[in-house]
Amino acid sequence: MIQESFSSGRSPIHSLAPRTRTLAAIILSLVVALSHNLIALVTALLIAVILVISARISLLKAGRRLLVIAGFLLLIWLILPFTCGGEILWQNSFLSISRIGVDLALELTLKTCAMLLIFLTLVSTMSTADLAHALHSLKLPPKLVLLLLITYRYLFLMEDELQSLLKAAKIRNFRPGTSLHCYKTYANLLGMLFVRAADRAQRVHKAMLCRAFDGHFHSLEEYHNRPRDYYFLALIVAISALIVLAETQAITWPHIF
Amino acid sequence: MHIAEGVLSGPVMATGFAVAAVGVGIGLKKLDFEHIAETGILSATFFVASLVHVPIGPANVHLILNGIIGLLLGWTAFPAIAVALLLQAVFFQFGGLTSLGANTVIMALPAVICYYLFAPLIRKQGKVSAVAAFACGFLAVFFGTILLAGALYFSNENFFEVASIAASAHIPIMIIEGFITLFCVGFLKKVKPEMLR
Repeated sequence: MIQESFSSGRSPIHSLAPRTRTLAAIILSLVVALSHNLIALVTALLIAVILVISARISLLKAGRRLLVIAGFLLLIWLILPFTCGGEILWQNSFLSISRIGVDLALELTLKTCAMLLIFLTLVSTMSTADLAHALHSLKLPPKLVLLLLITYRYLFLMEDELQSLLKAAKIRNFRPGTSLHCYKTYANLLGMLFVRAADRAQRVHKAMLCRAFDGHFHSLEEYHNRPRDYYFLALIVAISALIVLAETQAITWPHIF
Repeated sequence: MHIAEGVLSGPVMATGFAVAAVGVGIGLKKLDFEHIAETGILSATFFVASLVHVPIGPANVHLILNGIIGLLLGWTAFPAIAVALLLQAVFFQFGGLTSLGANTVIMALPAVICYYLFAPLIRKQGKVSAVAAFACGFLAVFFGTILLAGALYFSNENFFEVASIAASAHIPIMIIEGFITLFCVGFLKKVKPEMLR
């Protein structure tokens, strides 16, 4: 099921204006994405965890979201240490572990975890309507924002359509397997989904015209920046500067082995 | 085929955003208000269809469907896919802000290329159309995989093995997408041929 699991909540983070959170997420993600220094990245991960706590998201739930990237990280740890070459940390007759590989895998692990948590706390904590509003005020093309809103509006309906089609197939004793018949069934099912989407789109378009749609969605909720928004942004900029400083000064990290 | 955040290097990220911005720009220019509801709803369908898990042997893979999206939307596939990817990041944390540009290019550019290569052939009858439909689904994932592997490799040369494993994992998906696109196009031609522009 598609759910906005974190969008409703009461916390210092949730009380910030959507635009502030979006801007903070962009600044922080960019800085972290461009860092390589381990001290900078450990700082970033700590900040991310502090953000998760201050958004009152349970660490267990946030941890479960990290599973999304677990497969990728596992792949990284299984491959990079053995294939990178360079200075050798440890070896036996058929395997050698390279320092560059271990450092790189560690760097990626810290970075992806930190960035996922930052995105989770700053962006996934608002409703998509608020996100669209924020993107609009950050000067994204209005048509793109409109597209985002319409897509969001129909996401749940199309999922319902899909579920009912799948249920109909199941009632007719369809069992998925590796066969052409199975792929054909899925293809027809998706084709039906596209046809229904197009039919619905036509009705929606007519209904929008009837209601004098002129290309603008008017938001009912107005957000104004409050002092806390400026304080929060200043804090995020300061933290980012700290991370940049750690990155450029290249404070050496004691190698783990 | 989402690239997680924090994997790409600065130049690759910037290139991803630049190409995505051009694609989205062209797509939005071609998108008039007449079609905005249709595009939004198809974008939602693209998002939802990627939740379908198709079995292959003991494992199962989820569909990408960028070939069909390209056939249905042309250049508008760029904004539609960008929006769907942003929502997938918000809901499921697949991908994220900094990799959004690259991820959009990885899925939308092949969609547009396949649209130009195969849309005229698919309108024909019989075998030509069927072969073109299979090739469209197959190649949309194939080109996407090349872009994915390239993005990884140009971010850091040490990613070579990771990139080649990720690429070879996509080979079965290419074949499945080929068949799904083949049958799906056949279905659409029978039921609502005006959708395939």
